[in-house]
Amino acid sequence: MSNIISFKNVLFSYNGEQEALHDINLNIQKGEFVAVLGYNGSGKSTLAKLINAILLPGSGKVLVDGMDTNDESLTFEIRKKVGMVFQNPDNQIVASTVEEDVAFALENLGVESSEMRRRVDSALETVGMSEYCNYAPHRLSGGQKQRVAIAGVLAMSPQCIVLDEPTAMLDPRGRKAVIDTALSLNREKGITIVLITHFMDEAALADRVVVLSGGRIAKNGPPREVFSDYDGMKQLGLGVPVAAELAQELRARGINLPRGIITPDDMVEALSPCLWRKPDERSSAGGEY
Amino acid sequence: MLKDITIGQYIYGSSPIHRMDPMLKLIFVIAYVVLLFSASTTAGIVGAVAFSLIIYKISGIPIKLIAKSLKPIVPVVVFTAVINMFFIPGDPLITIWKLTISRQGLFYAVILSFRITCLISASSLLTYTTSPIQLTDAIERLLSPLKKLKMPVHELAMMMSIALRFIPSLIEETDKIMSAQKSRGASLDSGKLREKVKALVPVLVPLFVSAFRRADELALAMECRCYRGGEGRTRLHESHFSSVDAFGTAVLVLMFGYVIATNCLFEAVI
Ligand SMILES: Nc1ncnc2c1ncn2[C@@H]1O[C@H](COP(=O)(O)OP(=O)(O)O)[C@@H](O)[C@H]1O
Ligand SMILES: [Mg+2]
Repeated sequence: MSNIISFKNVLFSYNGEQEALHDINLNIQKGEFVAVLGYNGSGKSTLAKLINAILLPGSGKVLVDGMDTNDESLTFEIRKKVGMVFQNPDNQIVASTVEEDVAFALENLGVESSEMRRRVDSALETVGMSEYCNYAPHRLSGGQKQRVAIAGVLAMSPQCIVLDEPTAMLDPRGRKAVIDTALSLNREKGITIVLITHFMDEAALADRVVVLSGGRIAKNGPPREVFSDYDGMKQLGLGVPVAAELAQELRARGINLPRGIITPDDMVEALSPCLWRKPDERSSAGGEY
Repeated sequence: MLKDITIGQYIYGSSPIHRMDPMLKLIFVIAYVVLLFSASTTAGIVGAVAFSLIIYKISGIPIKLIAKSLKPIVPVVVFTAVINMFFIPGDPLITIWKLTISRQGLFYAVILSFRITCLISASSLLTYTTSPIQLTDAIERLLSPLKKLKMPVHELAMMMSIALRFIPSLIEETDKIMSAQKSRGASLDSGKLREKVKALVPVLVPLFVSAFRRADELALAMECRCYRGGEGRTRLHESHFSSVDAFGTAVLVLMFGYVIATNCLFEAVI
């Protein structure tokens, strides 16, 4: 039983008429890094809220580490296991100082104060925000606030963190800091990450990409596979990572590149053999190797 | 433009007064006011005034700031002093037209001025040395016995602290909306009062809408972090009765002893 999250035939509707999610079947394994993509209104946030019992499925079941979200007595156990980080960094910081905000969940859970201190310090250290522990939230940058929000979730020692477009309101530097934090939590602490995003380059870092469209799962597979289907992604109203886009353009101009280029590193690897050839060979034989 | 509004008047510091338990500080201020008004001899009042001066010195709050906090109440002090001066009967001192200032009246006016001044400076000292959030916490703890009477003390304190947390965000937002409206040709700072008030509507409406959206998202974030009211909640900064608190309590008890002693020993002047 290594699934931390599993959706079984989940239907969900906000108003009883239109369904926001249709018949979702999805398993996420412990320690996985899953990116969720989809245009606005495709049901990504709804999916996220179903995971930690903010919303309950209309029919079907959502299991978190084997616990059914429909069981009210398990709600807080589930929320302890699955932390959530939202898009707007301003609207999820509750307390007036960074450390008190990180402690908020622990205060709610009734953790004893010396233990709380230890966990707050270690969470802040993990996200690299220790030196800001006494700052007021409005004095932090967007990326810093978002890392504080991650620390606030991390303090609960969750097994899984769901991030709903955490980088949508950030500048490139803040974005990188947040994604690096999520990556290191996944790689070093084995925390399962579900990252909802509009940035294909962030999705390219995941172990698996799930694409939603109109409340259904349109694609579900490793990023290399999903992003190789350039036309399919365009049809779903989505792009592909910059490197994949470039590869597509180059292919269109007759340069023969291998499939599955999605990161700049892949691109470098694919192109570098060309550079070692003589100029006259280069034009004729592209990246054929 | 709105950036430089500060909330409360907390001045960061690490003096013993700053470090004292906020709830205890709150109680002490109340106790001090009682002390101030129960001292009825010259020695007692002088002692109480000197006490507040010493506490100010220890807190490291610049004297300029007390002056600032006292400024708005000067008219009140002068008014009450003058009224008392003329209307307390006693041995006549000066007579101006039909009004007579008595010796007792003058004395009473002076003492009353001292009392009001000390009262205001003591409560300002509380707000200078305690952040609004600490103060909210202190009020919650002080009122917590009322929870037994089903008063929503925790909820009120939570609301207050969230309001305090969001004031800077909302100010920033107001600034943004004002700029946005100005860039669309709204004139916000010119015209008659009526026009100015009218011009505020396009600022306030989006502000309210956004505040409600924020509230919605914040509630969601709180729920995700297992918030379920005050029941069984613990705090990161649990207050322990520290040596500063013990020392403060001892000093205050001594002060009370002193005032009671002077009240018994000397003749009351008031
Ligand atoms: N609170 C709500 N009430 C009613 N309908 C909603 C609500 N939230 C979202 N929806 C609808 O559900 C669908 C999925 O929304 P959402 O999950 O927020 O999409 P995404 O996060 O992918 O942009 C949309 O059609 C949206 O209009
Ligand atoms: Mg969304």
